[in-house]
Amino acid sequence: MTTTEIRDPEGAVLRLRGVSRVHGNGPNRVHALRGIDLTVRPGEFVAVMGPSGSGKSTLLTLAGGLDSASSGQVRVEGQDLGKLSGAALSAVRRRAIGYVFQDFNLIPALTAAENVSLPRELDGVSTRRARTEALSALAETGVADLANRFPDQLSGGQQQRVAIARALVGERRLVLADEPTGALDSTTGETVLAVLRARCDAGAAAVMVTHDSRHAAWADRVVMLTDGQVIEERERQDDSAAGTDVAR
Amino acid sequence: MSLSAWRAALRIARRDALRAKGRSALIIAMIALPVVGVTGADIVARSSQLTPQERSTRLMGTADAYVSTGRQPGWRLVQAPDPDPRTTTVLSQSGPKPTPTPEEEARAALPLERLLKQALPAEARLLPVEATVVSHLTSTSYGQGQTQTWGLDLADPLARGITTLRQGSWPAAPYEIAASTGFLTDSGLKVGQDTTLKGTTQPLRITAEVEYPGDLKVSRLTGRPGELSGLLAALPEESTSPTAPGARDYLLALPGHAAFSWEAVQNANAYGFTVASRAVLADPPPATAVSSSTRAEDDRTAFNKRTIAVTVVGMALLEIVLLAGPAFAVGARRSRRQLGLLAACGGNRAHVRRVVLGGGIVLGTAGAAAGAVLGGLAVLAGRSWLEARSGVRFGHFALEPADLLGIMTIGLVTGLLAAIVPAVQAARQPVLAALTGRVTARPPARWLAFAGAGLILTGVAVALLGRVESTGSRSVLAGSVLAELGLIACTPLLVSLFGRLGRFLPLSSRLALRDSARHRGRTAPAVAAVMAAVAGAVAVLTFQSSSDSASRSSYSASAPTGAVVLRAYPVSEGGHVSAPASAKNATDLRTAIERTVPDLGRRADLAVLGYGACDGAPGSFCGNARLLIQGNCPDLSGPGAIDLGVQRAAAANPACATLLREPDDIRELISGDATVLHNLLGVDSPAATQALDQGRVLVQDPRYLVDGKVVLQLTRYGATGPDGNQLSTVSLPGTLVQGEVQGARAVLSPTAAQAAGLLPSSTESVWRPARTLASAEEQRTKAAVVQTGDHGKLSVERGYQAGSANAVVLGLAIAAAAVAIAAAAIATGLAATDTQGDLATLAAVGAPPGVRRRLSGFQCAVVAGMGAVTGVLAGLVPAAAIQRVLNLGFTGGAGSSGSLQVATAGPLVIPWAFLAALAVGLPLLSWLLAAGFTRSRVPLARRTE
Repeated sequence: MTTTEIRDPEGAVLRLRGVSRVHGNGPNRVHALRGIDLTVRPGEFVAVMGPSGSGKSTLLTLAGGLDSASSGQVRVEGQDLGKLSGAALSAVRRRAIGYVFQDFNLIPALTAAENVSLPRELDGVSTRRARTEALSALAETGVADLANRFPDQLSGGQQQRVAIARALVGERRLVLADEPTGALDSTTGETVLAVLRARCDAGAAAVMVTHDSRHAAWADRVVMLTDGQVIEERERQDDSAAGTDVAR
Repeated sequence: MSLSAWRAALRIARRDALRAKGRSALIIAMIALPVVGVTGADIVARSSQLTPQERSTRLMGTADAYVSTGRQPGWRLVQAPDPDPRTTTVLSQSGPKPTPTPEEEARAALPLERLLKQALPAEARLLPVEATVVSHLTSTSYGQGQTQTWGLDLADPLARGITTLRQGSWPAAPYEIAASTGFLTDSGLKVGQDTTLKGTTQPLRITAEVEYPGDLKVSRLTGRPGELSGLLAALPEESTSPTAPGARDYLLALPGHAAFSWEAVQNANAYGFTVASRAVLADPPPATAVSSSTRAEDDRTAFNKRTIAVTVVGMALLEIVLLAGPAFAVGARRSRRQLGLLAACGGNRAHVRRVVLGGGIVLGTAGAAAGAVLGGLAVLAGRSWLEARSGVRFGHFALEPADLLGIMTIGLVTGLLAAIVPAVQAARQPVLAALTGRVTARPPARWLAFAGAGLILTGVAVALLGRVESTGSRSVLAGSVLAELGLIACTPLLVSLFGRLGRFLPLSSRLALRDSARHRGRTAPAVAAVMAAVAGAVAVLTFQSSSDSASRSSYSASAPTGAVVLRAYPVSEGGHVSAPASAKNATDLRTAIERTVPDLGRRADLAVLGYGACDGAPGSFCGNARLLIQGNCPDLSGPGAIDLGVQRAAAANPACATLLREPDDIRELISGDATVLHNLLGVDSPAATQALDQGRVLVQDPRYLVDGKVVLQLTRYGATGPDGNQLSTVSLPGTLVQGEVQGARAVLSPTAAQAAGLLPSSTESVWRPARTLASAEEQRTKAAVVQTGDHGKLSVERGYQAGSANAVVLGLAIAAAAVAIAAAAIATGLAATDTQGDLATLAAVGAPPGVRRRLSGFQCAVVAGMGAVTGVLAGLVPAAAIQRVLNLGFTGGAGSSGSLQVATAGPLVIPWAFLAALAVGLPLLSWLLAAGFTRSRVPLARRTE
């Protein structure tokens, strides 16, 4: 099994080009996404905002290869996901993409360390090495001391930190987070975001769907979606919250 | 897939199994149950198989060989290394006439002791064994009982191991005996008490209770050699008996317990002795050194039994797979989001599949291990009970590792098989659907239904049209299994078709039916499990009711119901039947019975008539008298009678009825008076009595009357004639009477019988008490017969008795119901998990709390109902097929006596009441149970793990 990844020529971790997703046929036809372009580079933390039904979660599932685009191109680490088989897509998820959901992120039958080492073990890495990597990933998110606890022995915030560690274990550097703080109180939510921010500063890339503009403030860039289209894309400025409108 | 990925999958499966303890325990129990049974059976079978050493010890104690002189001393014989009377052949007797060589004749003339000296090594020590299976009457605390008498010096060290001393001490003084546990139990005697052999006066003191490990139930007295046989030999009637006891066998010991070689065995064979040698049994000679005539034939029935056993075990495993399958399906469904997460982490379909299959491996292994351990412990705990039941002590407690491994593998495979379908289904669901909990119903796979329909048609055709074999029919078995597998494959389609009936039903039942149809993954295996259980029960019960009905119709009562019948046996004196002694015996027996039960009513004495006295007295001859019937029956004793067509024609021909009928208790010809007519036939008409007095023959079957005459065919055996027999006929005036039962085919008055040349061959007495004798009274009268010398037989006519069939019916019905309800309950439990959201919605729109209860009830009833209806249909196929085989097959061919037996299987009798009870009762019971055990409170709808 090869571990060398095809990197994007421009260094982007995630690149969406004219991506659309249509559900249903005829009168039931629904456009979830229409012609989305998005590029995320290493070290970049992108927040996706928008009202319910605007296509935020669909964007995330397409970027993670859990769903396929009706048209357009989704590239992760330079690989066109649309051209990959089911098994190859699974391999990409094991090696390049990490998911963090709102809750129930961890497999209850596995300890924190085993949850984190799972993608590596599925990838055929020896159990011992996978555990070493998992412990270092847990240390990077600040929960190394919880390695042997089961999910039901962890608080919500601790569970999300373990999930972030799992999303970034091994050589993975793209975190797709769907409302990662939705089930947490605001203080805990902030801690989790701080961890995510720190991982991006260390070189990872993150795309986070959120409703909360305070949480979006942690991001380098905010993408606003409405009815499946990007209506606004703002870069964070170090000293001001005011964004730069980008012409569609 | 790499090892670490497997390890991760198994880790998740193992921890999941520990988290869902109830479900895991259920699956483990289901897998363990058959493993317990098969393990127990294996250990019992292996433990009962004695090692050569153990066999030798039971046969010859510590001796080196067991020598039998029972064949034809002096005449050469061939035996197998392990001598078996069936394969031992005396060479000079193998032809139609004995042809001994001069050398053999010379040897046969020698006294046994000298012959033994010549045949066996000179230095051998012999210990005589008088082992006989002939029984004698001996006194007990209740009267008299039958027991075997052996002569063997049990105190001799050579005899150690043949018996086990349970209490007391070995017989040491004259006329001391060791009694088997079976004798002491039957006789009520204890160690220290005396018993006396019938006809002798010498008291025998019981000094020991012994057990024969190879026959725990045997009733046997063992005295020192020559003592018991000497007492019996002194009896006048025994002296002429060809089975006179005496020392015919010997335990043989060589100095230093040297091996008695195969060459030495063959040398003894040359003198007409069979030898079981400890050394030869332990190390048999090569097949080339053994005569081929001594080899046992291949047992074909063993093969058939194995086929049936494999099928039964296979079907039981299928049933478990079907029952455990839904439990795995619910596990997979409950952990749907977990499996989705696994996929989101990069797990592919194989990874997901392996987590669910891992559950099968983990629970299968646990079930198999638990079953094997429990099976072993059960045999260990129940060892003495098992030994007492089988009547044989185990040689040793045998755990065969290869067998146990094989059995445990079956358990593991069962777990894996049960997890396959849920695993494939779990792996197939889209990751997004798994993560969001959105499940879409898919139509049942068409190819599966087509394949199922094909299997059903093939199976029915094979079962109903397949070749009929004489030794049982494997086509029935194969066809039934195929048809059942086909039905299982069709179940998803059937479930979906049943779902369409929903529109005609009220809310709760409509919801239940639609829900079951939408979630075929859990419904279909449960329905199939119910179907398989019901089909098995229906097949056996239909067959049972058919054969029961056939037996009932072919049952011929030998007397009116409630009648007490005594048959007094003829008594011999001086080698012939003695009329005065026989008459005294009959009188004694009658007196004893009437003393035991005084209110039996009027006694009718009758004589069963025969032709010729056949008692060995000068001038007497043997013969046979039989009634002739109208019409002609072809000769069924010739070679052509083997043809099936001839046999079928004969079966349909009433003239052959007397030839074709099964042996029964109906007397052919009797002589008697009006009381006999009343007590034996239930005929009370004065006209009949008058006809009897006029010397007419009374018959109940009009076919015996030709132009008002009854024709008797008299055969005198051994007289001159075409086949050595002399045939003659006698015509007598006959009268037709109508009685309650056909206790005798024809009745004559004693004077008419004498005039026709017929002689009484045995005497019977019949009472018709006002009430049927209670079982205890019957036991007492039978005991009275035994105590009066046991020269008679007493029976009470109780009409047709279904025997143990009713217990079978009840057991099967309970087993089928238990399996069906278990399957329905599992499916309902699964449904409860799936419908929580629907229930919350129902509650939100104002449904009353009872709706949940009703829904559960209907869900359970739907599964049980679908399974019961299809199971009833599926079960009729094998029943009809088996019945067909029995109706076509003749159980016996034409015998030398010219009689042949036709299987009286009769038509297929379908137990409608029982089938209706299954089809209606099972769903109803399931409904009540499920509704009764479901809480009506609707839980708050929340996301599950």
